[in-house]
Amino acid sequence: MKYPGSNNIDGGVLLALNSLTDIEIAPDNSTIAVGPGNRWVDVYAALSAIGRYAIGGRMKTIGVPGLTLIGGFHYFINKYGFAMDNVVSYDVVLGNGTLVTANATSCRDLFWALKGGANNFGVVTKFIFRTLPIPLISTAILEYNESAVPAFIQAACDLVNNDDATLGAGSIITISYNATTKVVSPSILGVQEGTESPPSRFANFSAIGPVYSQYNVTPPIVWHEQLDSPFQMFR
Amino acid sequence: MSRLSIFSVLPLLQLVIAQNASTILPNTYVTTTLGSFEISNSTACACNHLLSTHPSLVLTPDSANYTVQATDYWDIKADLSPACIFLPIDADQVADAVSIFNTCNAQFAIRGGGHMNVSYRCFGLVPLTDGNNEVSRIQQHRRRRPPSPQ
Repeated sequence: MKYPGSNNIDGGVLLALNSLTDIEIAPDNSTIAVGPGNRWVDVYAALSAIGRYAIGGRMKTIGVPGLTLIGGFHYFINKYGFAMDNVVSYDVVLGNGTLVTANATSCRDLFWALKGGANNFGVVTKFIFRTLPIPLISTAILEYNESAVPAFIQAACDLVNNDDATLGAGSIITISYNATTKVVSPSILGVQEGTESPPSRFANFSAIGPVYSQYNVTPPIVWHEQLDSPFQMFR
Repeated sequence: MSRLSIFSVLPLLQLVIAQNASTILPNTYVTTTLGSFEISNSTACACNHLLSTHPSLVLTPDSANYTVQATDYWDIKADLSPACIFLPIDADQVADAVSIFNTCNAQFAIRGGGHMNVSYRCFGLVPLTDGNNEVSRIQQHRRRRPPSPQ
């Protein structure tokens, strides 16, 4: 979880939930129950087997509980909301050691509070997420040289103004500066639900004329698996 | 009869050797490869409760896998040195642990399966709810150490 000291402790007790790795898809495929020891790639892999998807972490190694308890950015938040909006039920150990279920009908205030409440209200031992009928996504990896920067920024503004909820689509937009070579490099990772390729929501970016472009239609797991982010680095 | 008793004791001995976790003594100063810390009475209380109830699921600084677990983080800045690490395998064991933290008033941190990128401020959280499941009180014990620059 992305705030100070939330996940380890000097001289105290570390409650490590790594071993709670159960994943269970409901018989009707509409939900998936996930233990807090899982990473999002585990969830996407399980859902891939039934051609479904869920709203969670964008990169391979992101963990399920931290992201889900503080909000949770995904490419398709414009249509489906944050990861936390996709939780239909939590199993929670309260501060007095009782295990309860919080959902729309039971412990409703706790259900509300856990949507962004981080680790302040208990220890979640199971998340149940709704699943989405999205077997394939359309992706774009585009890179530009420095002269494209003004058009690139304009395309980013246009996307913000026009990324309505009729189609799940979102991106990671970056302009990087290499201090050694003094080269400025705009780039975008764009993802859109469905099979339309190139993805229409990023047409303004495609039109600029990237120096590198890669378009693919893949199951979501294929996209997420390649976005690895190694452990034990200084960040 | 004597053979029977040897066979029934052997697995227990092996378990004790395999886990290599020992009793945590309060008011002692411990140095690990990850740092140094003093063990408070409340921390010793919680670790020793866990050791007695779930001996195979607790790691202490002298356990073989302690460093592997204490450094299983995305961000190297999250590597701290807990007095003990509890690795439950089901929700009931999580509930047991939280009850023990409550009883001992112990500070603890929770780690899931993923990564985080900020460190060095430790919370022990004791959230309580009343009979109507309304969140009635939250106690937060913050350590005095300031957050490190990110």
